Parts: sequence; C-alpha cells; structure tokens
Amino acid sequence: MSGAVSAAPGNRWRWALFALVVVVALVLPQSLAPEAVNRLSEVMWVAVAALGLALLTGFNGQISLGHGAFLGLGAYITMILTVDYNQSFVVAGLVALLAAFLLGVAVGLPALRITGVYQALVTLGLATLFPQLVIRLGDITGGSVGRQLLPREGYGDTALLEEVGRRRFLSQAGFRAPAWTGLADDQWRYYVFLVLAIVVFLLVRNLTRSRVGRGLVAIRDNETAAEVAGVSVDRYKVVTFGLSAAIAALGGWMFAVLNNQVSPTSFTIALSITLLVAAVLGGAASIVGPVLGAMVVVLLREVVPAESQRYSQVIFGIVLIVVMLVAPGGIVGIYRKVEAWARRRRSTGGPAPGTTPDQPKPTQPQEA
Amino acid sequence: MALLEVDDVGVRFGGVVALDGLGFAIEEGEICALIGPNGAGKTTLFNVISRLYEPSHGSVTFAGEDLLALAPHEIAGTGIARTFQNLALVPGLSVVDNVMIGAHARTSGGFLAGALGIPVRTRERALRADAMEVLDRLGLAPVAAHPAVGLPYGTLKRIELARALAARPRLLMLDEPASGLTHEEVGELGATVVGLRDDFGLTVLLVEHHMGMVMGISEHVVVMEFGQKIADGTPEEVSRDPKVIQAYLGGGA
Ligand SMILES: Nc1ncnc2c1ncn2[C@@H]1O[C@H](COP(=O)(O)OP(=O)(O)OP(=O)(O)O)[C@@H](O)[C@H]1O
Ligand SMILES: [Mg+2]
Repeated sequence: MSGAVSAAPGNRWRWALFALVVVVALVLPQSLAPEAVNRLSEVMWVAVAALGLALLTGFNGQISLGHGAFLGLGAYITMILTVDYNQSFVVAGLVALLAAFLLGVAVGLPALRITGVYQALVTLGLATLFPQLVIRLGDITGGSVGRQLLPREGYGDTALLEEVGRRRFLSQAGFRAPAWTGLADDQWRYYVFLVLAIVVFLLVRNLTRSRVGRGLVAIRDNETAAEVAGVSVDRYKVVTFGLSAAIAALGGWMFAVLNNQVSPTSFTIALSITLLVAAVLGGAASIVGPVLGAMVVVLLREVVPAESQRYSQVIFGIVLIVVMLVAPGGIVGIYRKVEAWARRRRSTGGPAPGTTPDQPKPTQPQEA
Repeated sequence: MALLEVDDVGVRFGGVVALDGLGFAIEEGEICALIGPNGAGKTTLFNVISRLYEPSHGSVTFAGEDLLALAPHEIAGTGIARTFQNLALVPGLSVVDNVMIGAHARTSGGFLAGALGIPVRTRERALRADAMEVLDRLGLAPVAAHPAVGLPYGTLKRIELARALAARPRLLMLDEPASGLTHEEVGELGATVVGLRDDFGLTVLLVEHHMGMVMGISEHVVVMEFGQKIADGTPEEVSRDPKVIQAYLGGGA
C-alpha cells in the first residue's frame, strides 16, 4: 500500500488529455484566420499571467490587486530594450523577468508584516501608480499615447527597418517570423507563445507538487503549523511574490510582442482585475484553472459588444463576487466536487466523506 | 547532560504573568509529563520552545544549543517536533501530505529543484513511502488520501502525531494528546507513546490533564502552577507532594 501511487491511472489519463490539447493547439493556427490566431495568443498571455497570480493567491494565500503593473513593467522593458537599446527580444525578456522578480520581492517584503486587507491596499496602490508613472516618464515611455515596437530610425523606411530588425535575434521590425519557418508572423508568434505557456505551466505544476509546494499551501492554511514544521515562511512568501511577478512580466513580454505597441491604458487596475477574474473563475488553487479562466475572460471580451466594453469591468467585478460566493474553487473546484461525488456514487453505498473509512481499530500498537 | 534545559524562563502578556522563572531539565530517552491546572502556562512553555513566544528572560537549551538564538522555522531542524492543543493541520492538503509536511526540515529541495521536478521525483516517492509507514503504524492508512478536514477529532489528533513523527525528532512534545478521546482510546494512546519512545529512542515532553495516562507512562513529572514550578520528581514523589495536592484540590481542576 505504501508508496503505491494510487493516482497513477488518473495521471496517465491526464497526460493523455494534456497531449491531446497540445496537438490541437499545434494544428489550430494552420486553419484559422490571423485574427483568430491572435485571439488565441491573447488567451496565452492572459493565461501565463493568471498562472503567476494563482501561484501567489491560490497556492500561497497572498493577495495582489496589482499584477497588471508587473505585466506592464515586462511590456515596457521589452519595448524600451528592443527599440531604444537595440536588444533582442530574448535579452529583453530575460531583463523583464529579472526586473519584475526584484520588484515583486520589494512589494512582497512589507507583506511579511502586513496581511489581508493591507496587502490588498498596497498592491492596489501599485496598480494605480503604474500608469501614472508611465505618463510621468513620457520621454522614455511615450507618455499617455504609448509607443510602438518599431525602431525609431526605421520609421517610413522599410529597407532600413528590415536591416535593423535583422540585427536582432528573432526580430525584424517587431516580432517577425524568421524565413526558415515558412510561417506567417501571427503563426510564429502563436507557436513561440505556446512553447512559453507550456513551459510555465509545467514549471508551476512541478513546483506546486514539490516539497516547496506543500510548504506554500501550509503557509496559506496554517502559518504556525508551517513554521513549526520548519518551513521558512518569510523566505517562501517573498520568493513566491517575486516569482509570481516575474511570470506576470513574461505575460507582459508576450503582450508587447503580440500588440507591437504599449500604452498606459493597457496596464490600469482593470488589467489587474481581469487577471484576478481569470485566476479565480478558473480556480486559483489549481494550474488548469487559470488557463480555463483566461479562455473565458478573452471570450467574454470578444462577445461583449464594443460599445459596452467599458462595462466589462463591472461585469468582471460581478463575476468575481458571484464566483467567490457560489463556487470559491472556480471551474476546477466544481469539477473536483463532481468527480468526488461520482466516485462516492460508484463505490456503492460508500459512506459520506465526513465519516469515511476511519474507525478501524484506531491504533494497532506494534510494540517491540 | 540533560537533553532539554529550561532555565528561569519568564513570559508575560500585558498584566498576565504566564511563565514566572520556570526551570527544569529533561534527560534523553525519558517520558516527562508537564502538568498543572488550566492556565498554568504549559502551552506557553511549548510556544517558547517553538520560538512562537519571546520570553522576557531565561534560557532554553536543547542538546547544548541555545534555542533562543534560533528563528522559529529553525527549531524543527534541531530535532524538536510537536503537536498542538488546538489542532493545527493543513486542510488544503491530504492526510499523507500533511504528514510529509512534518518531514520538511529534514529534507531539502528549493524552488528551482521543485520547478524542474526531475531530480526530486525519487526523493518524493521515498518520502511518501515514509509517511505511509508512519500512517500505517498509527492506524491511519485508510484515510491517507482524504483531505485533513472533516474527520473525527481523535483521527485528526493522530494525524498531528503522525506529522510530528515524520520529522524523526529527538524530542517529541505533545500538548494534551488525550483530550477529546474516549477512555479506551486514551489507553491505546498511552501504549502508542511508550511504543514510539522505545522504538525510535525518543524523548517525550507530555502535557496532559488525564492523570491515569500521566502516571501510567511517565518516568518524570514536572508540576506547574501560575507559571511556576511547584514540584519535580517521579510520579510517586509528585503525587505525595502536599503542594501538588493543594494545587489540584484548591485549583478546582
Ligand atoms: N497569546 C496569548 N495572549 C495573551 N495571554 C495569553 C496568551 N497565551 C497564553 N496566555 C495566558 O497565559 C496564561 C497561561 O496560558 P497557557 O495556555 O500556557 O496555559 P495552559 O497551562 O496551557 O492551560 P490549559 O491547561 O488550559 O491548556 C493564561 O492566563 C493565558 O490566558
Ligand atoms: Mg494549554
């Protein structure tokens, strides 16, 4: 009995499903219009950022109403480094990750002393501050209008644009598909995003199932118990905040690459709320949840007519509250409940969960 | 040299003096009971040893090491594990994962190793097998996969004990492990504690109101009242002590 990984068949089933999803995701852009491919790319940056937020919120019980700011930081660093400093998108991405990690650690540090509503307020402050700061630093950021990810020197000169672009790995005047791939730009972007999303998904999955992951959940549910068991609570919290911010910044890199432009209106508190909705709606204490949530959120934005877009934040707010009240575990939580219920039905006449197997002979002292 | 030495420890909460110059020592391998009326300061002492409460003065030494110089999360690594008077389980994890949390301090693997996963997998499997063994011993194997909530109280208490054991501690501190158990269960628990001590060479510090269990299994009894030690000796010595009789009759416990 011991060590017999009882979840093995279920695991195999899950891997099969995962493989199926990946295959579908691989063939999908071949038969879709660029517009649709770009929507899927959007789903992926939302999913990545929501996954980062879920790690922080769902698994570790910390609150952030300001993850849009980390995403924005990633997007702006990507823009500035590729355009003004002629760096490749790879370098820009790595710098964005590092910068967001450090900012995340800085924001996470006071969270050690303050919790709950105060942490919500601090991160809310960050979310409101970010667009203001971007506008203040107009010389580099382009102010309230924003800037495009095109080399300044190349404006209006296609040949120069191509030349400048070629000097950067991966990029030719924005994020263009290399010739050898034979892909359209939107498809190339999509595949790069897909790889990144899968990598992030697997890393977060591994982490949540490791010794560290158990520690994170223990901190969420019972900080004293975690500490007494030897979990370095402060370090775990701060590192998790940093990681979560870095993952959000990767989402920001994807945003910049997809839209080829950045402006402060994209990174307001509304974005932070959207990410939170994606995570909570799907199920923040799971890794599949944020991905599902991202799909729903992007789809919602598609179906809401453009003239009522400004109400979408209200809608998201209502969705958030309803989900918290009705199904705090989100979509994944509902699935888990149904699964547990079905399992109980199948084990004919099995007792209710509360009174399950227990009460054999309580102890079997195997004294020496 | 004693394994655990508590010397002149004082703790106050506002006007309440919870510990007032408390001092005693435990030898390696013994089962030492810490008893006293409600509010005597027993749990407070546990929390001082766990570094959850900061004493105003005094010292706590474990195997020659000054515990008061350590951070709370470093205590487990010195070989001290405990259970809580009011359960402190992790409801979001299964029973077996709760037990594995207990082994946190004696295992390694940080964020990077966790995220990459591969080098960790075999270690995880061994750890899970370990935890299952502990659960098996405490008769908890059938609930291993169940979340650590919604189970009978006695079961939850045993899960806490299993988690503490998973740390493979030198010193096991139990805070009222018999409370809420049936008479029969208390008898079994006593036998379990003795069996664990014998098999793993544990030292046990036991806080318990159940006198039958205390007198039945401990070799050493420390009696407290109002944060002070009022008696210290074998169960026979202590139960003859007039101050102890007075405390228990007068205190209405
Ligand atoms: N965190 C705290 N804040 C304020 N007062 C406290 C705190 N912890 C304990 N006390 C007080 O310290 C005194 C000792 O409490 P403690 O819990 O250590 O007693 P105990 O011996 O464990 O009692 P019991 O047998 O009821 O568990 C009590 O007067 C209690 O009210
Ligand atoms: Mg107590």
